[in-house]
Amino acid sequence: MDTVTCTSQTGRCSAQHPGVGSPYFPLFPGWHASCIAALMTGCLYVEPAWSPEVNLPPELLAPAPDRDHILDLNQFSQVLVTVREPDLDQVVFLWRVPDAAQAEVVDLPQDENIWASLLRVTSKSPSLDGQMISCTVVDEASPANRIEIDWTIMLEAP
Amino acid sequence: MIAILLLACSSSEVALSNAELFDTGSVASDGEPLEVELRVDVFPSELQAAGGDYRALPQSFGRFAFAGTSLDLGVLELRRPVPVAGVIFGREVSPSWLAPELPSSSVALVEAGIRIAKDDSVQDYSALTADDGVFQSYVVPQESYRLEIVPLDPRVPVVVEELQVESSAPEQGLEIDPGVALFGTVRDESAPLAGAAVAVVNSEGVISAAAFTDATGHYEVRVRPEQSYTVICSGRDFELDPLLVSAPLEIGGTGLRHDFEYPSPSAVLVDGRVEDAAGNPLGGATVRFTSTELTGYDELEHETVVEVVTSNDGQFTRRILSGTYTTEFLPAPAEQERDDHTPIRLDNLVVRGGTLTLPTQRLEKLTPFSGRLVDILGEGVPGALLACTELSFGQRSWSTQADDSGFFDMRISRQPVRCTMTPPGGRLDLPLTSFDLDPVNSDGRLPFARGVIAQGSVVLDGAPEPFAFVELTDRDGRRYGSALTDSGGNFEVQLAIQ
Repeated sequence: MDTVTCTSQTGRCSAQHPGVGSPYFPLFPGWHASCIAALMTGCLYVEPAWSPEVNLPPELLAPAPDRDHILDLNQFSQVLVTVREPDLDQVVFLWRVPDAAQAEVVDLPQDENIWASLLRVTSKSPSLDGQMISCTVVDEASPANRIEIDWTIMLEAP
Repeated sequence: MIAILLLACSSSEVALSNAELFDTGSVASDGEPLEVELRVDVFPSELQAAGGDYRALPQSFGRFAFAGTSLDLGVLELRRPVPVAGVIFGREVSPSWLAPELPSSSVALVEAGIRIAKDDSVQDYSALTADDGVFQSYVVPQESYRLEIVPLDPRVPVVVEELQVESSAPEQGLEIDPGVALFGTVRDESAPLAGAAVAVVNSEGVISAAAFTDATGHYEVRVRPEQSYTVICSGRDFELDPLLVSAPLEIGGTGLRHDFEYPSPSAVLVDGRVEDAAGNPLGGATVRFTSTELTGYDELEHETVVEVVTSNDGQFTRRILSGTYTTEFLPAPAEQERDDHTPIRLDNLVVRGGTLTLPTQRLEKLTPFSGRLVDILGEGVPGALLACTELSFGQRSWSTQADDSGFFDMRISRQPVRCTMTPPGGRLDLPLTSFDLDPVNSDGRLPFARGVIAQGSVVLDGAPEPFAFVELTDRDGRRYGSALTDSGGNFEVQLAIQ
């Protein structure tokens, strides 16, 4: 199974697929060494006729605001998430906002593999200060492929 | 054919233009020429630079006249934000409702809410001064803003001034003069009301901090002279007293007295029950009473909205003033969407007497709503998004995505809704399409509107700005289209000919 790791500092996520990205025969692989030692000829290797198709997760292009993941409602009231979906799958944005926040979402499939979603917070209740907004980007073809992004709301209000 | 026959009858009486004979894309569907002014809002995807300062902020452009033909928006230049900082001073005044023309002389730093806003734009910034009167905010420069200062102490006047912000903004030092007193008493028919909240609203709609009446019912708010204000009083019982609103008052150089008198309350205990169509109680439903007329308030401009939430047995009880109300029953969200219900609205509910038991209200479940999203040729549009929002007070939203043939299936309120269809990626020929809908009477065949292209580019410091979100709206806030800029900062969006 693919795993997606995100760091809370950058919000950037990367996919790790089995066997991908690891060095090929890092030093002297055990089974190869055994074949050479036992048969003095090496082993016959037959490449598999197919390999399992790996569904790639969405790639986060631009979470905004990006620094420190703070939504400063005193300066702006929008959060924008832009992703690239390498397999051209449908992408769904799931937003979670505090109860006190009134918000609206604009989803924007821009091109065949670029998707964006903009959340606009339309209320400025002082109780929002310190609360969290989060967005989960889900690859519909493989829901395990998802990206989680959080923001902390900052609001100075009388 | 009709046009040819008409021309054959009389060429002088038939002066039809090509635009009337053929669909050139410049006439709205109701026959009125399409002419709207669109504002373009740009939301950059990268807001902060490496050092933490803002490199860009959301910025508005326009308005651009749109008459139903293609629109070139040109190059939209984002400007790097600059900090605007300052310190607010004011004069403390001793309680002076007996001698409102006498200011004191002591100077103090003012705690205040600051708002820097450009009309008709997304450029709207706020800050709170520290207790030393200092504030700072980042704003988009080379613009004229409205600076609003609302002191937390109502005895320091609200100030609204024009603020021109150039490429670098000098520190603002603002001293608020003490102004004059707008004062008076709040009472009911028998006694003064202590603890009633009073505030003033200036002609720009900026509301002051609230002053509270003392034990003798007196209040005082300081205002700037020679201006017009409306005074609002929310009474002492926030759950019962309506908001009283004065007529606009012209304030002279020596202040003004304005008194409020509440009629003796004639409250009615209203109860009732909310249940589903099967007779099961609906807990957590909101019952909202909005007054259209209150007994005894004929001469007073007033507003009141009262809400109560049903308990687990579906029952509610609430004390409200006698009068006539619009009453709405909004169900709480269910754990499963299929269990959600549709709200009910009752107009002209007359509330009289000591108690009133309303008839039990039965809320029906959401109605199934299915159909097909099609293009102008009648072909299904796979992957298109359909989002609908209730027009009644709940304003709940539902959305779905068309399947591979453009068909959709959802559950939705039985109340009228406003829907928006968003085309899928790859269908750049289709515009965002919005319309009002009665789900109960709709056949579910929802066509995308005919569209024309608007295009432009977004730059910052002359360099293209990729992945910026561009949105076009009319003066009513209706969205005409949205797009992302590409790696070259360019965008292209279809605008619906509504």
